[in-house]
Amino acid sequence: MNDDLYFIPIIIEAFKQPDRSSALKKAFERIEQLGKHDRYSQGWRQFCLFMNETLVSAENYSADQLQEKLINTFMRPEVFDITIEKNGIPIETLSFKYSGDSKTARNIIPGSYKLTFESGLCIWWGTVSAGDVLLADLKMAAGTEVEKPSPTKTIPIFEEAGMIHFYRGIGSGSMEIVIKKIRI
Amino acid sequence: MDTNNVSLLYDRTKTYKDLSLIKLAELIVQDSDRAALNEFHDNRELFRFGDNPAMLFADFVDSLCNSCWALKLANSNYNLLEKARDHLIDRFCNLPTEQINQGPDCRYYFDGFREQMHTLCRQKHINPLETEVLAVKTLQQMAMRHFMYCIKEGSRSLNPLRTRYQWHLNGDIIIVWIPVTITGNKRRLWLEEHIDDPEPNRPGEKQRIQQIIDSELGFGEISYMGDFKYTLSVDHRLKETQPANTEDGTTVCDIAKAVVDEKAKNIHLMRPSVRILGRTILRKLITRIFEQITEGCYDEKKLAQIFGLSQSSLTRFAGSRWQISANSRPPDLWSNLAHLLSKNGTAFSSIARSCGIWKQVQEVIRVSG
Repeated sequence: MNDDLYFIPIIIEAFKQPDRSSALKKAFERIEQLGKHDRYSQGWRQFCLFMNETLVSAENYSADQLQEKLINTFMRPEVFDITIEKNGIPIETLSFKYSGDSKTARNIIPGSYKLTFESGLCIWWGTVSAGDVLLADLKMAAGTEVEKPSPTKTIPIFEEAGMIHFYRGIGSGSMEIVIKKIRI
Repeated sequence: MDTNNVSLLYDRTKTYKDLSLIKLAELIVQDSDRAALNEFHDNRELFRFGDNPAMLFADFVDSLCNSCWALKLANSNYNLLEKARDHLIDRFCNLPTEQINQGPDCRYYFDGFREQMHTLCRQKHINPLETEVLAVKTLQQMAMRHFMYCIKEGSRSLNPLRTRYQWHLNGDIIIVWIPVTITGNKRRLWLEEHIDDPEPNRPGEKQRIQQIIDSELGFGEISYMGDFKYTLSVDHRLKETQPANTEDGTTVCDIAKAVVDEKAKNIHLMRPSVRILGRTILRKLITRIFEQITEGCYDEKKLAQIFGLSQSSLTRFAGSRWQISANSRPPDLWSNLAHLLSKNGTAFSSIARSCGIWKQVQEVIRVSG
């Protein structure tokens, strides 16, 4: 039996039986039982897609309804990614909502950084210094645990689209990217 | 350093990867810049839907074409779907040169995108990040819209041997495509004779009627001598490695046989790579596939070799491993089997529901996105 298509011979066999309804019930039970084994896990998921296909094809839709279904299925979700690169190497990708969002990248150490929108557009690049992200001594570090630290540097993104805040830490700091609500 | 002025960066380093979409489109339209076009197609993962990660244009088009909704929109015509896919890719990829000036010109489409962006940005006061978000959204909507146009265009161009016919029914009109061999009043008579209970206002009625016409009358397709020669050579090779003749149904049961018959009858709806086999060979191929699956020895690579198909063509037609997502569909043959079962009088779906399997199916589909 082909593991990924194990359900097809079972269904075909059921259709050969004189009492087709009863045979199909048994066939579905067997498919389900086998699907619980690791060996047939991909086959079980394929069976589910196969069954979903029977559902879709049983329904009647007008051309307008089909276009609507297609548009809704492939509609863009209201999220976008910003990738952080350090010295030309991507180190983290953060996902933002259109409604306004704030995400923090940790383990930021001094170096050249670049933020790229998912379309490739560079939204900021520059150098992060030791003073921006590293604490000078442990006494200060102890103090920062009690109160919310204030950013050492704040840079606007495209003047009004958002802000980048840098915070100091022991050994490495963090970069908080705040994006305002997208008004489109 | 603030890099609001990205064009400065471009001028200095001549790199395309940091450019905004509008700037890329501008380079494609105004300078016929092939490197900018390559940057768009090779590196810009702009398109996304559902929970899927962002993807390139070509991958997005493939996802569109592989969706169950697209197949239904194309009246289960795989050939049409493949043509629509090619049209759409050409519209956004084809940059004519002085030497080669065939096919659509992508500059018109990128120019359309620029114009649309210009209009949208004029209406709103938005910052550069919002402009880019809007650009990505606009481009995805544009790709979707053109996909639907391409299905319509593909449908028109697929066969010059069909004409549009307006069937007047109780004050309503249904527009269908009928082979040119049936002319004048005979078209109405044929429809009245072959279409049961037509109801213009019923959802999906036009698709249902067109499917009956396509199934009964075919597309009156044009055969090219090249295809004919190729089919002959495949036939010749098969004489030595022919699969067992199961025309008498000794090894394949009814449901498989029904699929074989349906595919052979509607060969004109198949992808060109499979259609080229011809009815007889196609029957043998499908029969052999069902036999091998039943016997547990399905060997796609070997079958592809025997039947003169590329392995990718056989995978698209009857691959054993598929991508699982709510928006995709199984390979063509399994999709056809599903269609056949859904139309089967045994109420296949309702038995599945009564077994409680339906909930699990929906859950797997939901989780798979």
